[in-house]
Amino acid sequence: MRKINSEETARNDSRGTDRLVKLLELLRAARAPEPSPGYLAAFWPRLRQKLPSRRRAIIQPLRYGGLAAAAAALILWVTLAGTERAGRTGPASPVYALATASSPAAGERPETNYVSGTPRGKENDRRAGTDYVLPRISARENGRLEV
Amino acid sequence: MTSDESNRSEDFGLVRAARGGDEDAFGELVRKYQGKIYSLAYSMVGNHSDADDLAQEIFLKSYRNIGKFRFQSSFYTWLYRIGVNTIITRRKKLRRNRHLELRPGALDVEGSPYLSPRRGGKRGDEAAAGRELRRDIREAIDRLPEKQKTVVVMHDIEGIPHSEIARILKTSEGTIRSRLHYGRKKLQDDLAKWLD
Repeated sequence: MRKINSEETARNDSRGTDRLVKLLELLRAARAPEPSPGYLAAFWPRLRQKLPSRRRAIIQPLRYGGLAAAAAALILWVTLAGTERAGRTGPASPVYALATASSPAAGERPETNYVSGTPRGKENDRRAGTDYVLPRISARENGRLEV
Repeated sequence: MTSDESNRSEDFGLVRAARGGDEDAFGELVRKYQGKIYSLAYSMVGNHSDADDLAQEIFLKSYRNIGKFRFQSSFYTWLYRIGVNTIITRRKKLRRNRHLELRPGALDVEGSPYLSPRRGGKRGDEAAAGRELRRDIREAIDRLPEKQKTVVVMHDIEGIPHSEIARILKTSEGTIRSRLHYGRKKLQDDLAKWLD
């Protein structure tokens, strides 16, 4: 019985080895075909054209730095100065336009002092440089609008 | 000095020159390893177009990162590491986009005695059997988990020794042998009809 088992094991081992040898042979056959000499000769010249040049390596960071600085300046300007300027209409109230307090004629008061729905200043505040929102049509009619 | 050491120091010299902006020195390194890198890429993706694209990308990456080479391993090991990582990343993208192609005539198994189950017929039958075998091998390799596939390709197809694969993949030789064992086992099951 033991002899039969050991023979069977040996047979299985030999079959396993045989299968492995066959598998390795198939895999070796799966190797890439040898590239042609023409392909190999053209490989480096093609690659060379794609290499980042030293000049570009210096200029590129500067270019990105310049773009980043311009973007930062734009963000800073929008944040601090905003887009509210005399004569501009707000996105929330397109029928209104901004005018400065120094422009209104004496005795007149701005109809409203809201910009894009945000309260801004006091209704009767007429200090120079304070922004008010005037109805676009009446402002034009009054000739007070600085566009 | 052994030939390995002299090869290594020659590569180091070229790397130093390339770091200093000498493109021709880098070109020497490219010419030296382009065949091996192309072959590795081809074995992993199975078609010329992707293999060529990958080989170019691998060398481009190595050029951009050559300043990070620390001279602690051979240039070849470092380059292969970049290669394997690049190929694995690309394969993930490819797998998402389409099934991998098999270029006709890619696998030269026409002379294999293991075509026997289908042999004996007309020439057309043999060619069809060859195509079927190539497709089966390609698909079986492709079905392997990425880590097993990488090791099977590097060792059984490219013939890179365990110790070198371990250095490239930064893992132990035991792990490499284990991945190889399980990878081969799966391949034997998948390709049973060609092996029995």
